[in-house]
Amino acid sequence: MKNFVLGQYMPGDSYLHKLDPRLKIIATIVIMVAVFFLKNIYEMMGALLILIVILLSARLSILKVLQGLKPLIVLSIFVFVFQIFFNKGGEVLYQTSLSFSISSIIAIVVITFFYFFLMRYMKLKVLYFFLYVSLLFVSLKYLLYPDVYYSFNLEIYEEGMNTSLFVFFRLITVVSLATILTLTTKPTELTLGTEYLMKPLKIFKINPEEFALIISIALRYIPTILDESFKIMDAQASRGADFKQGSLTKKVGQLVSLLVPMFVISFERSDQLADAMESRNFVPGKPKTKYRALKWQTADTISLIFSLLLLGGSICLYILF
Amino acid sequence: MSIIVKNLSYKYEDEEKNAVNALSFTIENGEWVSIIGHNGSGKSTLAKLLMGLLEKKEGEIYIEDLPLNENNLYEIRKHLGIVFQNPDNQFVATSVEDDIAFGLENLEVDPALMEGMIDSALSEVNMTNYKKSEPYLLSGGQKQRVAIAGILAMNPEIIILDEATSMLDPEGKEDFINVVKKLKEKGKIIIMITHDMNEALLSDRTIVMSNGEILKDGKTEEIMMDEKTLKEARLELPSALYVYHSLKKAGYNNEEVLKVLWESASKM
Ligand SMILES: Nc1ncnc2c1ncn2[C@@H]1O[C@H](COP(=O)(O)OP(=O)(O)O)[C@@H](O)[C@H]1O
Ligand SMILES: [Mg+2]
Repeated sequence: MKNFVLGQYMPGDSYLHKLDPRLKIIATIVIMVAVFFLKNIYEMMGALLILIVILLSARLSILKVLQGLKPLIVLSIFVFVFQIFFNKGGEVLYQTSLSFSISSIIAIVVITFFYFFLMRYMKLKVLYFFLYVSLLFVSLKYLLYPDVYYSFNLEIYEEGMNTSLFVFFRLITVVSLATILTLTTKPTELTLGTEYLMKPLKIFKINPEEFALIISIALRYIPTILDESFKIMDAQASRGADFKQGSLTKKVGQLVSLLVPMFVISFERSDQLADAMESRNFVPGKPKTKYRALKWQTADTISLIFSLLLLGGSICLYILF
Repeated sequence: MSIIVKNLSYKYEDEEKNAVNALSFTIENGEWVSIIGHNGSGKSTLAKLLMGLLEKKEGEIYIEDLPLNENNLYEIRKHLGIVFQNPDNQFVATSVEDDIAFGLENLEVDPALMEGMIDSALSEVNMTNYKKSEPYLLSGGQKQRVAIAGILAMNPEIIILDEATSMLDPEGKEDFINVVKKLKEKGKIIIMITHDMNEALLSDRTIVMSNGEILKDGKTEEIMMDEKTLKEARLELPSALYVYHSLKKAGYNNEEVLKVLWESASKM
């Protein structure tokens, strides 16, 4: 637990690290909006190129950013399959006939069995998945013995291909932008930036300072609470509980036995924390000074202009083409 | 600076008995007072009453000449700082420097002065190297010292420690106590709530509490001699003092040997 990282912040001193968090939040949103004005795959490739330039110039490891994209895999596969099967516009790019026969069905069952069996030993899960899909494809295409029960045509159309690539790259770009923001900005700064940007919301009686305090306390206690839950699990494991195995009812029982002490501890904690804060003269809503002031610098203005230019550019493309 | 408590009582809702009952005492400038007593004897309740975290039901509390009441809590708390038992439940911010800044921000200190105040508070507790650290990388003892630094930066005259060392390992305890000794030298009033008798030996004066009442209040040396009171309060003597008492009872009166025993007891 000692290596727990708050957010995904990667310490560094690139120009992206040094920019004002307010700028970074605004610019991220502006560029995301710009990305949504793009209409075709070629424009999207351009956006991807700009993204890579930003990444390289900030000396951010592309690998780190790719790690941030992991949760997207399932979603991308879904989009891909959906588009390929249902979007039938444009020319046919590829066509083939796939068939179910006894041999291909047996092959599919065996391959699927091995796929799940070997899954846990595999390092590169994504590549492994693609290998699995290609094996399925080969079986359906070439194993026709002894009789073919059912055949169908797989047709990939130009538009389906383009749209799925387009959506895929758009997802990558947008999520990478958010990842860059969290990689280069400390959670404290992110909170502070949000607090400043939320100031206009005071009209709606939302207090940005309290909001920021809540976020920062939550950030502060996430590692502590995780640590605590591991300790409780250890303690209960030593008394025979097994959090990995057992029937569903057993698992639910074990979850409850984890949650109950967690709640008790958390209530106690919030009581004591409130006492500690009050003792240090915290009064909700009372004016405070700020230790960390944000400084807007020329680089921030330049970056803002740059991001607005990107937005302008993509709006122009949207109108012109 | 002084604290005057007169006839102070408090009862929690839904409880039958007063948690503290008719407490009266005065603590003067520069005193180091231990408050000892069994679990549930009302020590923490007293501490919370002094901080104005609980609203007193009966009696009076004066900090210097200021009576503690709902309207001047903010003023009163400028004179008081408290460190609680659990190191994890009083660290508010995501880094050491931000945590110390928390109190300063609340006092509306000029931000230009904050860094200097934070640095000097950290050096007082020997935590200068941890200024940028995040809390989960610190040991319990280090967190407690940050808690003290957070208080020191606000410069109160009175520091209350409510079992602040009870969750620390021996090393953490020793470092913490060394900081407390330094504070005492600077003339702060120290109110140390503890059930560690060895720790109590360090103080000038000891108040023994039992069932919400003050059983005895006097010089620490005298309290530690008073086996009867300690037994009544269900407290155990430090082991070196057992020897001390046994020797005395047996009529052994060599002042030098007794003195060595006493001193070694308070070093344990
Ligand atoms: N929040 C509370 N609600 C009700 N009773 C409490 C509460 N806190 C403490 N008490 C009771 O008040 C008495 C004194 O408690 P406390 O001041 O915490 O003692 P100590 O700190 O000496 O262990 C105990 O009997 C305890 O059960
Ligand atoms: Mg207590």
